[in-house]
Amino acid sequence: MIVQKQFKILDNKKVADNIYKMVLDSSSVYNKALPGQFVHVRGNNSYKPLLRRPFSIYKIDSGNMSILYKVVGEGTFCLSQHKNNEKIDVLGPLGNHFVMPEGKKKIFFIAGGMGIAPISFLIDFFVEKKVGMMDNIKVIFGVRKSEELILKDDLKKNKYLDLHLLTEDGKEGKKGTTIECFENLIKKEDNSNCLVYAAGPIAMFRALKKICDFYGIPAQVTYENFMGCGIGACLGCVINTKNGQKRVCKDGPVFHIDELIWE
Amino acid sequence: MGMMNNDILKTNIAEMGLKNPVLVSSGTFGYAEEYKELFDVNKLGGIITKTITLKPKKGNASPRIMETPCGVINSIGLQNPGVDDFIKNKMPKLKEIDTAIIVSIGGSDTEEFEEIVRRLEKVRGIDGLEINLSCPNIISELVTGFTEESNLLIAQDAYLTFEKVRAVRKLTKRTIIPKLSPNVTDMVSIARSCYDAGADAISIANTYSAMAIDIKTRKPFLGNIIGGLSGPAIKPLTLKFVWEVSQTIDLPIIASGGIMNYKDALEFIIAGARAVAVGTGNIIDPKLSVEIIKEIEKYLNENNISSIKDLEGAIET
Ligand SMILES: Cc1cc2nc3c(=O)[nH]c(=O)nc-3n(C[C@H](O)[C@H](O)[C@H](O)COP(=O)(O)OP(=O)(O)OC[C@H]3O[C@@H](n4cnc5c(N)ncnc54)[C@H](O)[C@@H]3O)c2cc1C
Ligand SMILES: Cc1cc2nc3c(=O)[nH]c(=O)nc-3n(C[C@H](O)[C@H](O)[C@H](O)COP(=O)(O)O)c2cc1C
Ligand code: FES
Repeated sequence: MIVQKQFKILDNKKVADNIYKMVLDSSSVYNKALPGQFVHVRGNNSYKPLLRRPFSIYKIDSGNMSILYKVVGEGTFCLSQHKNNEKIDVLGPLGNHFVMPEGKKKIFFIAGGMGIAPISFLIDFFVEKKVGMMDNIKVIFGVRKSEELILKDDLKKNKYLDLHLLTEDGKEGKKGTTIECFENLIKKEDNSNCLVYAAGPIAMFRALKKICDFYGIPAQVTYENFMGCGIGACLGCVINTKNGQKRVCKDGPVFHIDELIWE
Repeated sequence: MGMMNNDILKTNIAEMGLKNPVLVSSGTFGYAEEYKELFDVNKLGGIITKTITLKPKKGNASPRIMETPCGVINSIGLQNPGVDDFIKNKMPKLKEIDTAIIVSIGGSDTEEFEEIVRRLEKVRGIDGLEINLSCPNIISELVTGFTEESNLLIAQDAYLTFEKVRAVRKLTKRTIIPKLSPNVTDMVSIARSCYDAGADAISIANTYSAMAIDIKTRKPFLGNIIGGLSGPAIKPLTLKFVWEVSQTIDLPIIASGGIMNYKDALEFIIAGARAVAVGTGNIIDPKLSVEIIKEIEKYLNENNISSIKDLEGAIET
């Protein structure tokens, strides 16, 4: 069920250059939310910013819900100014979710930049529910600057994961992109039983699509678009897909990569 | 505390009774399905549906919505499933809702309006028709609102407005409400055409033609280049139109433009509106309309006003 409520901010702190984590006391109402779903957050009650902003759910933990966000403009800047114990208006959980694999699969999680937020929630879900083949989960996480490798310590501690960190500046992890890394890994695999879950920028999906096509690997991705209502009513977020017009907020944000049209 | 009176909020537009004067405006509430999950939509004064055209319409390219200071520019482009699908798949659920159902209709020529009205005539549960003569965000094709001869909106031309409204009037006894464009030199003359053509009320107003440019790429922000501005930024502009038209034209007015709280709603009613429609406000705060209804009732009670009707046009000049 979708809930709109004012939640208390338990923590809102900088975790890297321009990146923040906000923990909300969502009093368990989001405990049934699934990985890939998002919340639509109202920065404040004035008209600046006016519209809500969408953020993937990053964590559900003992009744609290967290998001990870990067300050890129007015709306996210406004979020970053909130103090602990203030209240904030949240609408969610919204949208569809990643579909869990049937049977044993070789899982690849690919996160570019802030895409680590939904992917991290998905990893938590896999580990908690013991989904898939727990000893064969590869996580590929890439960022531009090494400072942006948030959550790397948590990821490193997780014994189920085969972790690959990539940076464009090469200061930490390997120098390169997520997709280069993915291609190198997939070349060595028997790729008949692989499955990709990805979140990140559109340029990453474009490159991913080529490789998935070549090796015949199915991939689910979370797609972003500008949004109005977030609940499927205003048709502001509609995109064309191979299966017709889809509302990113309601029919998405998770799509099969084959469905999307890249122009 | 003033007296409690169940009828305090009741009003009407021609034959159409409204349990309160707060409606939700076209295109911001879909067909009510999504909002049902969030609050009791039976409490609304009325629901104006997304505009329906004769044939299904795909609408405009993405991005379709963006924010400007205190405003929103949208270029949805009247995406809708067409009148037949609407009747089959949307109406059955809509008519279950215990409130006035106003179907917004759009078309590019008179024949299209006539055909939609004919098809809707057989359908039960419709209380009124809003005639959308004023969608501003379509430039690439000749569709709703744009005439064949020029790039004018129907609601920018007094004769075209008269022609469309009269055509609809001839085919239905239902309450008909043309929706006007604010992009006009003289709205009173357009409103007079509506009156002459037999309209029961007028809806003031649609969005203001607008655009925005990304200076990094030098590209327009919206896929369609232009769109319509709505939200708090437009409220004072539309308020002035409502006042102006209500001074001269003897038709009830449904006002929509930047209503974000009960004070905005009351301003429109005091300026001369019979009812208001919340638009962009729903997108930001889905429960806003019911909040406004509660607050208006409180205001009336606190000020010993026994009916919302007493406030209509109560401006002291
Ligand atoms: C389903 C979904 C989940 C998301 N999850 C996260 C998340 O977990 N963490 C996170 O940091 N961000 C996430 N985003 C993106 C986030 O919503 C935008 O960064 C935010 O809305 C920007 O608001 P702003 O006012 O700060 O920036 P604006 O001033 O609105 O824009 C600044 C820049 O960001 C771009 N931008 C704005 N909105 C979007 C958008 N919706 N999609 C793509 N680009 C946009 C603009 O083109 C512009 O260049 C998500 C978006 C969607 C649709
Ligand atoms: C996303 C969006 C879609 C809209 N779609 C329609 C529509 O289909 N038909 C119509 O007559 N008006 C449409 N409108 C205009 C609104 O109904 C309303 O008249 C206008 O936005 C002004 O009110 P507001 O400032 O409260 O939003 C739309 C507005 C928005 C923001
Ligand atoms: S944002 Fe309104 S339909 Fe998706």
